[in-house]
Amino acid sequence: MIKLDGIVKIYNPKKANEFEALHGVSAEIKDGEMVAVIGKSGAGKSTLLHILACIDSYEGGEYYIDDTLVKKLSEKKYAQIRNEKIGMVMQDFALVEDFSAIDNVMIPLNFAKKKVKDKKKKALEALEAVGMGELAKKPCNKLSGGQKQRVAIARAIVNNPSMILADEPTGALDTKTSAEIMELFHDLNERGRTVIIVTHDPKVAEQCDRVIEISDGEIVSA
Amino acid sequence: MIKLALKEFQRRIFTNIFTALQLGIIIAILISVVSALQSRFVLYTPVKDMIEKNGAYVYVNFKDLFTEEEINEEFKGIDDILCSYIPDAFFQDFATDRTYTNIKNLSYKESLIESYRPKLKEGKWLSDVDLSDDIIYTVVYDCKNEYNVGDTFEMEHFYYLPEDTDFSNPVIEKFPVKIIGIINDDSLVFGLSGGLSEVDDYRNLYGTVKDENYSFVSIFSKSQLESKGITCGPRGTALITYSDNLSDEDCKILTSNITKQSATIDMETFRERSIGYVYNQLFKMIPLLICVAMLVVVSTVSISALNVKGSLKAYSIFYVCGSDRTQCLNICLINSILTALMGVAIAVILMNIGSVFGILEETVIETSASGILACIVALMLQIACSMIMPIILMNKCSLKENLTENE
Repeated sequence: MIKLDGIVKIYNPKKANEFEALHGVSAEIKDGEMVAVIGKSGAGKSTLLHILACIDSYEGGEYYIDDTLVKKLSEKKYAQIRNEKIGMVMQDFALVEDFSAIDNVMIPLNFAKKKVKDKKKKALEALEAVGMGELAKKPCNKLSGGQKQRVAIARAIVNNPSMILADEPTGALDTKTSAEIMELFHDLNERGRTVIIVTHDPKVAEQCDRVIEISDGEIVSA
Repeated sequence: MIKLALKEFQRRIFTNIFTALQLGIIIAILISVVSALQSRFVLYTPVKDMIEKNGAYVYVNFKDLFTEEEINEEFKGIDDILCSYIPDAFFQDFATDRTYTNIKNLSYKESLIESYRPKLKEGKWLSDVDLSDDIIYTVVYDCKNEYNVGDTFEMEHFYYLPEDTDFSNPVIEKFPVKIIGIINDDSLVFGLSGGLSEVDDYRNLYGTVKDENYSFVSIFSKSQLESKGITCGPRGTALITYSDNLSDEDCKILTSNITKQSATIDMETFRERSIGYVYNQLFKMIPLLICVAMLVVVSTVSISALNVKGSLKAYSIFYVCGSDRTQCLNICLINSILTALMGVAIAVILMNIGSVFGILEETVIETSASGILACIVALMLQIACSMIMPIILMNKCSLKENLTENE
């Protein structure tokens, strides 16, 4: 379970351009939920997602993952959570473009603390799960937007995390491909994974179990 | 993680080759500059300690005084002599070969052998072999290029037995001599100088085979010849130092006594002239040294920035996927080391190309310990910059910016 308790995020603290992006955000997301986080541009959706993904820090409040207080973790443990518990999907895919699809999917396995046997096989299974098995050896810069997002999802699930976080995963895709990608998220959610999707697209949001709306750094409806 | 680092290195292979090429050129420039700097002082090193003491610059050719012991006996108060030594009655067996018209045999004290090394065309210098071996070693110059490293020839030592009172029947003892090195034609050889002049500095203790038109020059170890019973005596331009316990007045008297038998210049004048030349050379090099230092710093910093910026998106992706900052830096370190090794390989290739085509032989460029040290410093600077740069750049921008702006 994820618990946010009064999270405050300040960019450039104590500087002239100081900006408070989140003003004490509190929320709970249960295991296996599929949640959409919506809001206007600059509302603080991505900031919240980055905090949830343990790739950004916060200045106030507490964040718990399965009753573990994230703030108190060492950098190594923090990285381990990113590696084992969280799978992250970005709008612009965040792939190493010159790497092949399978090399990209293998990245999290390379940083796994537990020894992973046959990394290639595991990565291939993840690619097959998103329908990209046949294009495993193709460099990512030769793939279409939809294919790239599938590779990004394969990478997010390769370590079998309990949580999938997606930042505007359909933002750069056409309607048909967006529907296919959302289908994949549904599949993952049905298999017990918690899925949190940041989106400004109401069609995406209405496919989720619950919608959290953020406005000006505060949750206005959950 | 190493596999991932290698993949990242391979991914950016063209940038890495470009970086390595730039590093290779920097290494070659550094070695050249250090060589140029050293070449100006390499001849000063053997005389450095001597000219700091009280003494005189002398042309040693005293009447009835051959050995150093005889000279020391005649001129009380001499502490040391830096000079080349002529082996007495020790001749090449091809002395009758008329094509070798001007033959010179020299021997050096161990201290000089250690501190001085003439430029060799091939082979080793006397300090590189065990001089306690039975065979006599020599380093030669041969105008006809007939002798090679490893060849041996015979030397004949002539002497008379005490009972031979009319000197009519010399004993000839033959010694095999092994060539261990061949001197370069333009090498400055200690003791091959001509006479002494008023304007001399330390450079006048050296001369080339061309200067005196020598056809065959052999250089031996004085101690090795003396162990075979061959006496060696100092001859030619020399630095003579006086004992520390001599007063200034005693020193003047000693110089005056030596001057009665040979031309001398007091050490103070010789020292001023020598150090003046060294500083003059150093000042001439300063603009070049500053330029090279700036080139090294600017290029290593820019290379690192260019290289790291290109990898920043990948490092951000690794971070999102579960690497910590240390792991990202380790990947960066492996990349930098591989690039540095590639740079070294390129520099070695460049230097070898220079050697193969004889370009380097025409210059003073050679790989020395100081040159290698300068290159190691430059490489360490490059690696350090490559390690610091990602920390600066990653902290400067948000992860999202790093993921989107560094395609």
